[in-house]
Amino acid sequence: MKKIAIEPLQQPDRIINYWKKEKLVVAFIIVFGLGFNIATVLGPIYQGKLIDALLRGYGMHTVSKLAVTFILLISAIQFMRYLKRFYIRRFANKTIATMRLMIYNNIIGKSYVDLINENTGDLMTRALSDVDLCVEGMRKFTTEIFDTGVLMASYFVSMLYYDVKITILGALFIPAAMMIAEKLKNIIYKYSIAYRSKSSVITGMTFDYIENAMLYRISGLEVQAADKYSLELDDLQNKAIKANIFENAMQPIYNVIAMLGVIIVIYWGGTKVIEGGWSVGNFSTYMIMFAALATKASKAAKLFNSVQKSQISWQRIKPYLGEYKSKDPVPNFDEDHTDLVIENLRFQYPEGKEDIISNISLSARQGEIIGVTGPIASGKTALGQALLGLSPYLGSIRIDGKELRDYSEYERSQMISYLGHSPQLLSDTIYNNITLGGDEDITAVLQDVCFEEDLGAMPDGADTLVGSSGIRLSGGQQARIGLARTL
Amino acid sequence: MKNDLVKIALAKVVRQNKGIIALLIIAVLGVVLTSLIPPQILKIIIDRNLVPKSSDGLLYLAALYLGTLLFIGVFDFLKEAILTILGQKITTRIRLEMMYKLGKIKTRYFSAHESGTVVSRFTNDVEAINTLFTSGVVGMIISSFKIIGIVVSIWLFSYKLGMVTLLFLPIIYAITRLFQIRMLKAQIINRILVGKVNNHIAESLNNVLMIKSFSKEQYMEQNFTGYLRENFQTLEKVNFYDAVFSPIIQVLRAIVISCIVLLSAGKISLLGISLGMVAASIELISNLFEPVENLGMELQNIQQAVSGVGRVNEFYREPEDEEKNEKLTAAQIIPDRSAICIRFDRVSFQYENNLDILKDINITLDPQENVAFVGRTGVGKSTLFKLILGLLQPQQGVITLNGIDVCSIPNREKRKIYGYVDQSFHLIKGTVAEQISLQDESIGREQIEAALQYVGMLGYVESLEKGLDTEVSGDTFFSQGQKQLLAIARAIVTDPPLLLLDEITANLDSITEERIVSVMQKASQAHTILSISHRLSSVISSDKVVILENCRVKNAGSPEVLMQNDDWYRSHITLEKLTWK
Repeated sequence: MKKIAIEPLQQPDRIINYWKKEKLVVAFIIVFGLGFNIATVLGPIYQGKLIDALLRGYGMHTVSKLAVTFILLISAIQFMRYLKRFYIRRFANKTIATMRLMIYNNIIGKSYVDLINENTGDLMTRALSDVDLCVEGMRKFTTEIFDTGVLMASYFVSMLYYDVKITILGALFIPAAMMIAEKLKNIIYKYSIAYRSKSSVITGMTFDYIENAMLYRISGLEVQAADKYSLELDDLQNKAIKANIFENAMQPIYNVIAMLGVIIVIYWGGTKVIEGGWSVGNFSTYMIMFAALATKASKAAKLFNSVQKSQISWQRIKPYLGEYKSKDPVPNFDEDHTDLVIENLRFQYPEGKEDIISNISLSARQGEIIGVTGPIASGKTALGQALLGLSPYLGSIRIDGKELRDYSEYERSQMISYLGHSPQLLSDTIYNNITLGGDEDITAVLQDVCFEEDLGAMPDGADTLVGSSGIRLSGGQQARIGLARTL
Repeated sequence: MKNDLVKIALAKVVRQNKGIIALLIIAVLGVVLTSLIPPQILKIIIDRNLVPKSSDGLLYLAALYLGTLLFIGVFDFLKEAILTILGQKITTRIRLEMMYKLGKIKTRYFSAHESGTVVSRFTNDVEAINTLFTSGVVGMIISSFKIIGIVVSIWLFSYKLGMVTLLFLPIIYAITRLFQIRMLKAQIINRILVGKVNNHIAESLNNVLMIKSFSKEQYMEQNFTGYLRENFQTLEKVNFYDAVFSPIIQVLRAIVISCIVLLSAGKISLLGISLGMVAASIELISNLFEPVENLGMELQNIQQAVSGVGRVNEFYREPEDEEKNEKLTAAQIIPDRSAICIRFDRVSFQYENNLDILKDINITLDPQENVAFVGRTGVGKSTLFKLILGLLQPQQGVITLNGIDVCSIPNREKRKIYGYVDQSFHLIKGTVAEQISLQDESIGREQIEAALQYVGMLGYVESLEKGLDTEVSGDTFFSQGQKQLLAIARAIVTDPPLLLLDEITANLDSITEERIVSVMQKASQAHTILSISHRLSSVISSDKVVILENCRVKNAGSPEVLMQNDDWYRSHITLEKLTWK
C-alpha cells in the first residue's frame, strides 16, 4: 500500500478547507456520485420492462436479452456506487487524521500556562470521539448531497415524466415529513449538547479512577468510588436516551408521513393502467420510485441530525484548530558564555492568586553551582519554574543581558535544562525516554547516573519499556532516567 | 457466560425490564408480520384490477395499503424506541461492572497498561458496543425473522420459486460472513491503535513540563503522526470491504429478479404464477435484500462493536486479586494496638518479566518496633511495602499480620490498619478536605482538621479563601513539601496502628523533616512505623534497620549493631556526614 502522508492544513478552522485539501478524492466522489445517482433510475425502469415483457408474453429470447441487459446495467451502476463509497470513506479517513494532527499540534503548541489548565479526559473526548462524530457528519453530508439530493431529483424528474399530476399530488407529503424532521432537530440538538458534555465529565472521572486506582484501593474506597460512578452513569444514561430516542425512533414515522401520498399513486396510477395510459410495468416502476423517494425523505432527518451532531462536535474542536505551528529551531545565544541576573523577581503559579516569590534578586556567573534551600512552601520550586520561562513573571530575569521572556521558547529550551520532582517519563523504551527522538549513544550518560547495573538486569536492555509514567521502574530508577535525559 | 461481561449485562438488564422486553417482542412480531402484507395487496391489485382492467375496489385496496404502512410505522417506532432505551441501560451496566472489576483487578494490571488505553476501553469500546443495539445485532435478529416470513410468503405463491429463493440464501450468507471475518481482523488492530492515540494525548498532557522544557513538541508530534498513519492504513483496508459489500448485494438482487422473470417467461412458464405474484415476489425479494444491505451499511459499526466486545470481555477476564475474607475486621486482626507482629515467611516475588525482585525473604518484625528498610534504588523496598499492604501477591511464601495472611484482608478494612505514604502524592479531583478524606464520608471534619494539625498544615489551609472547602485547582496548588505533608495527613486521618512511610522526607527541608520525624516519634508509642529511607541519618531513630541487597535481606539489626558489624552501613553513614557538612 502506498504510504499516505498526513500533512498539516492551512486555516484548519474553516471546515470547507478539508474538502479543498483532498481535491482529487473529492473530484472522484463528484464524478461517481453523479454517475451512480442519475443512472440509478434505470433500475426500476428496466424492472418495469421485465414485467411488461411477461405480460405481453414475449419469447424466451427477448426476455433473456432483457434480463441480461438488466443485470449488466445494475452491475455498471453498482460499480460506480462502489467507487463513490470507497472514495468517500478515504476522504473521511484522511480528514480524521488531518484533524487529529492539527488538534495535537495546537495542544502541544499551547503555552505551558494554558496547558496545565486543560482537562485530560475532556481533551481526549474532543480529539477522539468528537473528531469521529464531526467527520462522520462530513462524510454523510458529502454522501447525501448525491445519494439524497441528486437521487431524489432524478427520481422526481423521472416520475414527472411518467405523470405530472400524480407526481405533484402524491409527493406533496414528502416535504412535510422533511419539515417535521427539521423542526425536531432543534430539540435533539439541545439534548445532544447536554449528553456530550456529560460524556466528557464521565471520561474525566474514569481517568481519575484509573490513574489513582491504587490509592483508592489501599484506602478501601474503590466500592464507594464505583457507587458514585454509578450515580453519574445513571445521569448520563438519561441524557443519552433523550438525545437518541427522537433520532432513532422517528424515522418510521417520517416514512409513514412521506408515504401518505401512496393512496393517490395507487388509485390514480391504477386507474391510468385500467384506462390504458400506463402498462403494468410502468405502474410497478412508478411505485418503486415513489417508495424510494419517500424512504430517502424519511432518512433525511437522520442526515440533518448527523450534520447537526457534527456541528456540535465541530464547535467543540474548533477552538483547538489553529494554524500549524512549529518552533523555529534557530538558537540565537552565546553557547560559550552565560551569566544570569535576577532583579526584583515576582512570580506566582498560573492558577494561583498569590505571589509565591516576591522581590528576589541575585546574579550568577558562568560555572557557578547554586543550591537553593529553605522551608517547604517557601518558593524553591517556584523559583525553578520562573527560571524555565514557561510561565509569566514580573521583574527581570536576564541571561546574557537579554530578558528571558524575549527569548524564543526553543532558545530557552536549549539554554535551560530542568528536572522536576517527577521525572515525567513516557510509556516508551528507556532509550527513547532519554534521547527523545535523537540517535545518540547513551552508554556514557547511563554510566553517569549509575544505571548500567540496573540495565544489566533487564533482558531488553535500553529497549525495555518503562510503562505508563515509568511505573515498571522503581522510583529511584525513574529519577535516574529523568536525570540521564536532562544531562 | 461467566466471563462474558456483555452477556452478563444483557441478562441483568433483561431481568430488570421484563415488561419492556414483552413490549419489544410484540413490536418486533408486529413489524415482521405487517411488513409482509403490502406485497400481497400489490399482488391483488395487479391480478384483480390492473391485468383484467377493472377498477372494482381499487380505492379500498389503496386505503388498505396505506393503513398497513401506518401499522408498520407504529410498530417500527416502538421497536426503535425500546431498543434505544435498552441499549443505553446495557451500556450503563457494562460500564458499572467494569468499574467494579477495576476495584478487584490484580495490581500489576496497572503497571502493564497505560491509563489512556484503559480509559478508552471504558469510553470508546463501550460506546461502540452500544451500536449493536441501535443498528446492529438486534436489527439482524429481526431481519432474520423477516427473511423467514418472506421465504414463507414466496413459497405460498409457488414452492418452486420458494426453493429458488432458498438456494440463494446460503450464497448471501457466505458473502456476508466472508466480509465480516475480513473486516473484524482489521478492526481489532484499529481499536488497539485508537487506544494508542488516546494514550499519547493523555501522556503529552501529563508530561507537558518536560516536553516544553526540552522543546520536544516536534518529537511528540512525529510519534503521534506515526500512530495516525498506522490507524489510517488499517482503516483503508476496512474501506474496500465496506465499500464493495452493498454493491455486490445489489447485483445479486438483480440476478435473482432476472431468474424469477426468466423462470416465469414464455408459454412454458416453469413457475405457473400470475403476473401479480411475479411483481409481489420481486417486491418481496427486494425486501429480502434490504436488511442484508443495511447490514452492509452498518458492517463497519458492527465490526467495531464486535471488537469492542472482545476488548471489554478481555478486560473483564483479567485475573483478580485473591478472594478476600470479607468477615475479617480491623478490630479482629489487631485487637491491641501495641501488639502488631509482621512476618515474612520465605517470600519471593517477581513482576511479569520473570525477574526476581525479592527472593526468599524471612523477617519477623516485633511489636512496636520501628523498622527502617534501606538499600540501593530498585532493590525492591517499595515492592516490599506493596506486599505488606496486600496489593501485590508473592509467588511464594506468605506475609502475615498477627498470623493473618495480608492478602485476605478486605480493602475496606485496610485504611483502619495501614497508613501508607507513597513516594509521590496523587491529587484527586475535589476540595482540600477531600484530598485527606478521599471522599470517604465516614471521616468527619474534626478528624480531617486533627490530621492537618498533626502535620502542621491546618493554619495554612485555614488561611485559604474557603479553608478546607477550597477546590484544588491544579498540580501546582500545593508545593512539593506541602503535598508530602498532605500525604501524611491522608495516611493518618483514620489513626491506623501501622504506618508505612516510603521516602517521606525526600521532598522536605531539614527543619520540616525534623519536625515530622519528631512528631512521628512522639506518635510512635501508638504506632508501629515501617519506613524506607535513602538518607541513613533519619534512620538512627529506628529500632531496627533491614538492609536489602540482590533481592535478599543482607543484614538486619539495630543501628548500633550494624555500625559495628556492617561495612556498607558504616561507610554510607560516614559518606553522608561528609556531604552534609
